[in-house]
Amino acid sequence: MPDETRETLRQYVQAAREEVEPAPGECPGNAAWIDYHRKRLSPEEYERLQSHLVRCPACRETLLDVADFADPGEDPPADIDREWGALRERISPRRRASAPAWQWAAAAGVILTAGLTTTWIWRLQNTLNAERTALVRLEEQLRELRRQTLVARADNPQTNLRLFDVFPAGTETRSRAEGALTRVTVPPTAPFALILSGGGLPRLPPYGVVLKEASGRVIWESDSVPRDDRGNFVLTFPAGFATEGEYDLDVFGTSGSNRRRLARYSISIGFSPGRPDH
Amino acid sequence: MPGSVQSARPLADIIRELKDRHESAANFRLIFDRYYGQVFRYFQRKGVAPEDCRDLAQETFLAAYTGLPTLEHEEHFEGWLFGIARNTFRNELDRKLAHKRAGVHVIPIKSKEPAADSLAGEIEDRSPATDVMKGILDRERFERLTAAFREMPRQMRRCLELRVVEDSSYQDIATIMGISINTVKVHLHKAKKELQQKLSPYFARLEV
Repeated sequence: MPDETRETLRQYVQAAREEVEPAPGECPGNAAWIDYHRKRLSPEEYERLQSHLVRCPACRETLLDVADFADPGEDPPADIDREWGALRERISPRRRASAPAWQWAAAAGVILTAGLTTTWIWRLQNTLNAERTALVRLEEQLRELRRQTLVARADNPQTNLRLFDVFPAGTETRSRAEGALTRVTVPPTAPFALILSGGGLPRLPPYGVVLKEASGRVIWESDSVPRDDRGNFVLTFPAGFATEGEYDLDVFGTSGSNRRRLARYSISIGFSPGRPDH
Repeated sequence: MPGSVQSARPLADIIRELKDRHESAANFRLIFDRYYGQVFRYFQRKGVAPEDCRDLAQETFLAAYTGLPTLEHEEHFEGWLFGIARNTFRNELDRKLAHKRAGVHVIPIKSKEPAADSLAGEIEDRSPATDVMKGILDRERFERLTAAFREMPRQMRRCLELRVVEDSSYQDIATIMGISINTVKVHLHKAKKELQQKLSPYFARLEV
């Protein structure tokens, strides 16, 4: 008899559970979980919610959060009167006392000074506006340059990083003309970055990415891949990360408690002789 | 709690008056006194620094005050307030994450074969011509395990499921099941013994 790994047992128990425990059904609201945690339910209702919990990861997470919220503990290290005072300021308009005469005089002085300085500032502003227009133009040029030379990590830029735009299989892009396979040709010792075009993909954060070989073997995966402001996913590969061959990158989004595949990107990595990187 | 004003009035009455914007500040103070510690501790237990806990608690109560007219059932106030605190915490988390770098670094993981989603999937994928005996054995083991499962007391079975399938900690299982950690340990110990007794010819080693 083979040695049972924990993973094998997990798969058996999971399958057996689906036979024994009813499917979870609709998720109860927060109030129900507070009542469950405080044991304020009838035995039948308690049993129904417990059965739901065993099969529903989202509600388990809610219940653990409810425990953090509802469990008693020490008084917070905060002066509640002061905290209430701060909140009170924000929820109700402050009653204004009439200002004393010296404050009116001071205000008049301020207004007069402001009037005089306004003329001077107006002149300065004309000069500044012309310079600002020139600056905006320069910034636009700089942004364009940055876009063209985008590197995956702004905090640790690598000047020798090669960038490849990758488009999902089935989109009308230049990769389609090449059989939806983006060729990534790099020297074996060079790091590179893939910019997975995600412009048309729905917004379903958090996003996950799985990188697989053609055989299906997973060589990298992450459940929290950020999406940049253009909707793309930037992955930086260290030098010597992968061997030559074809790979699939699946991007997943999260819809409720389900993980949903949003796109598949197919790449073919090939090595060029190239100059070794230093 | 220093300076707190305890009220004997039912919470639902206070909330109803608040929704009508009657004596808003005075009534909301009663709510604030009653729940401030709870909201503060929630953020604290989430690992937020005390200074930030104060800010997040302020945001929570401000949102509660503003949103009170939309609360449908007064008796669900606590759950509703919990929802606001949870969203406030998640927004804070999103805000912090947004400050992190835009890309991720790919670090290869150890070899991992594509995992079967379920036992059924694993059996179906296997070619009957090459692995008939293994398939029959798998089916029998599955049936034995399911039968042992059905016979197990419900609470014990659920503890086992949470431990083995969900990889939950003892503490989390205790919270989810509403029992003590010691009871969880006893259940798991008994479940392991019971399964070993009933399934030893089918499973060489059961690790729970």
